[in-house]
Amino acid sequence: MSVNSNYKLVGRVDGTNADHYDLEISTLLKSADQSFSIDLSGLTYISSLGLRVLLKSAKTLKEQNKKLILSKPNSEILDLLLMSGFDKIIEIEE
Amino acid sequence: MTSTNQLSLAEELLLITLDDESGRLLDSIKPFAFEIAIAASLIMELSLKGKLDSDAEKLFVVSADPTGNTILDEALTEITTEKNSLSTSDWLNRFARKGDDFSDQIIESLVTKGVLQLVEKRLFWVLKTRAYPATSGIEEREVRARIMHLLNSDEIPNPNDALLVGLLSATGIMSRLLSVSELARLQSRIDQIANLEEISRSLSAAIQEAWELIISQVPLIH
Repeated sequence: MSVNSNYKLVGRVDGTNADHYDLEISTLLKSADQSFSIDLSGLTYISSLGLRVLLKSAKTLKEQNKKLILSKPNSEILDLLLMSGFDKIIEIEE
Repeated sequence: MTSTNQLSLAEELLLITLDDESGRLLDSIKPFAFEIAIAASLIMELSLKGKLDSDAEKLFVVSADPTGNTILDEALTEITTEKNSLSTSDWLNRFARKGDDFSDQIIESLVTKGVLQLVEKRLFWVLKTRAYPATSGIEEREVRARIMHLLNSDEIPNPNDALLVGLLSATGIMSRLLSVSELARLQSRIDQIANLEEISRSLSAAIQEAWELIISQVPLIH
């Protein structure tokens, strides 16, 4: 399975920049292979609106029988993803 | 006819919460839960419009620009002008105190849109009572159908539907939409969807806290 893994989220993702990331990721998803991976190793904070960007991306891919992979979140981001139940919907690679 | 995509979360919640026959609030819904849920639906709507954002510690304003909706703008102004940083739960409890005012305004909005009709009756020729039965009921059926489809699939929900499931689950209204066996079969899916959004988690916690407070104040019967 080929994985398009050229996207990395860095710093903070919240209401001030969620629209920007949403647009950028949505554009990349149009040419995504079977899986699209987002590297979260540089992500330090994500708010509710930021999480919606990830969920929307996963939904878009799933509707095309593709999947989103979130990789290498730090422990705080991982806790948040687990608390929100994202791990039951989106593949998370630690 | 009004398509449900023109209805706000608060309006969809009220439609499901009103008894089809009498047009009054369902008896099975605890008043305090309904008021907190109405408060949550306003915060959720402002979040869907990109005006508010939140995390586990706080709710914050992204844009103070008015939405054009009187009820939402009233809530947004109050949040914008608050000097202290408050959590989603704090705002739920504060807005819940205005739950009756908000629900009256939301009902009025649904009447204006032609979704509900105002029926006035007189009790013993003196006391005037008001009820709000649905005009056609099509909007409520659409909301129910949309939620049932989501619950019975493994689709990833859009934020609007995830928040609505959170509202229905936290208030116990979901148990009115589903049979006992359906509820048992779908409970994990309901929990999964409701848990996705921070505001839904705060709503659930706020209702639980309010319930525990009420229980603690009930005198023990010896």
